[in-house]
Amino acid sequence: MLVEFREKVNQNEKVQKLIRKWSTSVLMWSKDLNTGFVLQVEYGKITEMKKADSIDEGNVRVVSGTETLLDMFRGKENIVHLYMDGVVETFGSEKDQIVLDAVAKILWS
Amino acid sequence: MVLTLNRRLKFTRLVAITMGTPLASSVFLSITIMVLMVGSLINLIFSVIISTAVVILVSLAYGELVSIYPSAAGNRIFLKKPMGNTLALSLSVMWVIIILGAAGIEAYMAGNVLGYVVGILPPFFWSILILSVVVLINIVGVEISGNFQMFITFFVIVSLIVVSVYSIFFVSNAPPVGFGSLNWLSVFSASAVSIYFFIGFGRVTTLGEEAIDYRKGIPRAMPLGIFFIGITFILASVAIFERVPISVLQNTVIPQIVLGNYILTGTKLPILIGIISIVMSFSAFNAGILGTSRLVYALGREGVFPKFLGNIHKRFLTPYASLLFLYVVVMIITAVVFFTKNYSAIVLIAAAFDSFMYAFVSYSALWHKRKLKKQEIPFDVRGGTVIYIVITAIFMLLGILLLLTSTAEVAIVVIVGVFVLSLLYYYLYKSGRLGTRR
Repeated sequence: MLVEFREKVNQNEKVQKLIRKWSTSVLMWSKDLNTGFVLQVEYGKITEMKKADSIDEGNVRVVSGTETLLDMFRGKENIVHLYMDGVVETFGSEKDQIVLDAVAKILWS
Repeated sequence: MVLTLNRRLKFTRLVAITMGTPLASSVFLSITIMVLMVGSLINLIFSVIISTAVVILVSLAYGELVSIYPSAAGNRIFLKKPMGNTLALSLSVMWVIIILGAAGIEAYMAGNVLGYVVGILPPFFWSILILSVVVLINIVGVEISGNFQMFITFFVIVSLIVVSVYSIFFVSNAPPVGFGSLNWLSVFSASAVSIYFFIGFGRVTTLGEEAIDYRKGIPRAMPLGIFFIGITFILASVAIFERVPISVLQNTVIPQIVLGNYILTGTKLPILIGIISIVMSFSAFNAGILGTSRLVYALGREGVFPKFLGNIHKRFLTPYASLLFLYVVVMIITAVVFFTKNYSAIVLIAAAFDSFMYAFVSYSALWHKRKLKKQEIPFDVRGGTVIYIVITAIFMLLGILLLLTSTAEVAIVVIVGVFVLSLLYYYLYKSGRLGTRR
């Protein structure tokens, strides 16, 4: 699923136009499994995905239950709803959080 | 050693962020309102002590809630379970409106101060200019470093304390003012107004920064920050009460500069106070506009506000639509205040709504304490149950007292505002236009 997500992000023209200057690392952490993945973003492209060693990795951190995270990646859940409902916890600079949300909006709206 | 220093620095920054938003120069307008209503020095001092104490206690409720819901959408999520989605949303939207009103007052004050210090342009144009600058730097995405903001906050606090202490203890331009007689009705009425001193301290709970410790750091930083604000404004209120004649206060919108004029006539001190005041406005604006724009953006994305407010700038990656929306609304409010010259209504509306909001947050903390297991609350306040019952009651009473002792427009805006928003969002939820996950 993460591979599919990477392809979507890297190949979507609108997304690429928006985040071409954005470089960061995003941690997706599952609370129930106590594990997660780090996505490395370089100038808008997801260049690397690796298993996270701890919840402290990544510049932006998205923390939730496994099912919720999966639904997010499938585009079944709106990140903003999840955030406003307190279902996901997001940590990181406000700018990074907004960019992450904008990417989701373009991919699944 | 380095780790300890870093932790201290982070904690100090959290205290500074807690103080940063409330430390606005429009607070001086609420001091004017209080001074005009208290009648004696002892009433004034007691009123600020009481408001500081109860806001410190409500910050414990915020602390418990943020430790349960880290990095969440602030009041909205704190209130959702105990009060229901519709009311929680309505109160959050009303909160945004109140913050915009406070920003309008801040622009009004900043314009008047700049008009005094710099001159050249009329105050209204200065208000527009400072608003435009703040919005522009936010759209471009210029971020003021956390350490610089921390420096500004402590500079303002220390400056205000020094000027106030100097004014109270070392200036004798008028016969000393006695403590006067105590009147509890005046004390509590003024206490309700002085809730405005602390408006927006809870912003620290919604930052979502990775470096922030939600479970212990924020809950411990908030009471300390509020304590410092309380001390600062007790001193500033007493200084203005003692040194500025009531007749002058009734006719000025820049009491802090009038104070400077009275305590050191012929020196540059009024200009220095003006500069401190402008720094306060700029800092409070930046914090308020930045935080509110993110919330308006999220509400736009969610469909609670018009969808276009959820747009971001393609080059700067900032929520420019919500920033421009805030800019226009705040400018209209500022223009209305300049036109009517009535700032007190907005200050009183903000103070009253804040009181009710604190009551709801305390109730929410109480609700969570009863529903959750102890180990599910990382920051568990000992004796919290009793504290939250008392604080809920006190804030409800303060809010009601303020509505009863203010003009009708204050009560109308607060009550009708919440009622209309609740009806609107109830309808939107029922009709399925809100609440869907896509």
